Amino acid sequence: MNFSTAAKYQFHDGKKSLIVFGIVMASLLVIFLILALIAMVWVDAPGSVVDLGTATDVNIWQYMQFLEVTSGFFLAVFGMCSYKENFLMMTQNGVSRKTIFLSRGAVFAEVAALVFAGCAAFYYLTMVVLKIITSIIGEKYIFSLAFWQPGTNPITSSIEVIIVFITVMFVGYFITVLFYRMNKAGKIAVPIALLILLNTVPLVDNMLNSGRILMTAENIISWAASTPINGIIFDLIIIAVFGCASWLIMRKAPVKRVN
Amino acid sequence: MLEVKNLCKTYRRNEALTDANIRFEEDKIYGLLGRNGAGKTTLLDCITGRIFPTSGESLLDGEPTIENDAALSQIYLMAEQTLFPESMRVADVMKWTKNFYPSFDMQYAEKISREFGLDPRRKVKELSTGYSSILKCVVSLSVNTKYVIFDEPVLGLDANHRELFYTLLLKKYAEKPFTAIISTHLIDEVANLIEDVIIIDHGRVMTQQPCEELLASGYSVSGKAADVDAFIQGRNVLSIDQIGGLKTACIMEKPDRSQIPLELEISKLDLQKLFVQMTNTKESV
Repeated sequence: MNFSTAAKYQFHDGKKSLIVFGIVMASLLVIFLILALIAMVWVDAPGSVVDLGTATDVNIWQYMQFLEVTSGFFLAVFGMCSYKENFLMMTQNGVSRKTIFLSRGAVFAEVAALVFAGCAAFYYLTMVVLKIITSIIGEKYIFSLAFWQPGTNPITSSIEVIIVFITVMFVGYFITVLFYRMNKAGKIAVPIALLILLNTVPLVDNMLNSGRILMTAENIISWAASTPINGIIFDLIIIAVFGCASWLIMRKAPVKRVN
Repeated sequence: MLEVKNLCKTYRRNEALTDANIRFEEDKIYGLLGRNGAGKTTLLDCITGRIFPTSGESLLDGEPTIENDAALSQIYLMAEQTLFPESMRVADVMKWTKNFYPSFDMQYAEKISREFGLDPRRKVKELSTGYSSILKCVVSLSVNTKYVIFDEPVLGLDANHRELFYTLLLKKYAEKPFTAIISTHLIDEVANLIEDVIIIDHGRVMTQQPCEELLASGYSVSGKAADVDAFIQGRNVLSIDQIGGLKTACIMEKPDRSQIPLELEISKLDLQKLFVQMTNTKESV
């Protein structure tokens, strides 16, 4: 009972921001279509110095990538805003930390699937509108309805995107839980330490270690990016690491005095 | 039954709660009394798992309450601080409380909200300190869990609202008994409500006993200084006040009228007076 109510509450809490994000994305879609229309009708008109050719067709899947990246940033922030208020409200209502954490995971999965569905819907909508426009203004532009970069499996690619979305939310969640547990000094010290670390590690690695650490990191990222399956495995590891770390930090989190 | 066993809470070197052993029986109204920083809120926070005790345990019918959803669903703590999201409306606070506690009586909550003049459309952040307390009181009185803990329930409330709260609490208790634990500084106001008293001082449970029993265990004598001095010899004296030649002594023992000289006036201690004397002891010694 508590799990489903906790999940329902946590989802409800993020609903407003999801709706706002959807509206922003829809607005961007409209702008994109207007720009496409301008490009096709006016810029690429006969006699114009600009010739779009059919390049749009080849690279149109990049539009999906834009949707993905934007959604990824949004979801990282979504994850970062998922702790304090929820934790306090649910503690007030007798929900254990374990239930808060598990239901949060379920909500992340739900939100990831929903945002992915939104991205797909936006993508197809864009393609359909573009096709309608081109059918009216001429056959020069052929937009394919291919959802993914040619050559990839749509199912594994879809799962990969959903898992990426869950990953960024968990990373955001970890940051917010960490900051909740830290005192003022810690909140200042950690970002500074991170900044120093990010600058000094490559330097030290290059000077003393022939850049092996960075090379390993690069290899791992290249491996993860090479196929969707590798990407899924890599993301699941990241989820496990940040999820466990978040749980370890929050399992003894006290209710802090807020007023 | 809700009980805490050997509960300790330490903040670095500061012992907020030391070896607390308390039993809260069903369907009783308890008064949890203590001075500022005595450890009352720490105790209540430990019971409900808002903070973790350093050692000891809190049990509900033999099951730990901390991190136990089933046990926590039977306890509602109205804390001093407001934990509801600031941007949430009063009506939504009630709606969500109903989701978490299915026994929450929405109709009753709406009814008493009207009596308090609490606007359900207002956001939590728009409420004054008093109305914030009223919101918490309304929710706590409507939640219908076996154990309801009120931590400073009337904080910021005017006399009319305080009176209304006590009336509603008693009425609710009379209609459907539950265990109410009231932690407060306004001892005089709750003295007539509470059945059992728990006094905490410097993190230690000083006493837990029925209110009547506690009040009967002390009395005060007043009269001429010399007469009082002669009478209090060898007795357990809590405090002595002197104004001019008139002296008053509070004595911690059952009064035996046959032993009290006629020239001395004897009176019962009220709860607040007794509490003050008991918790002042360390400072006055």
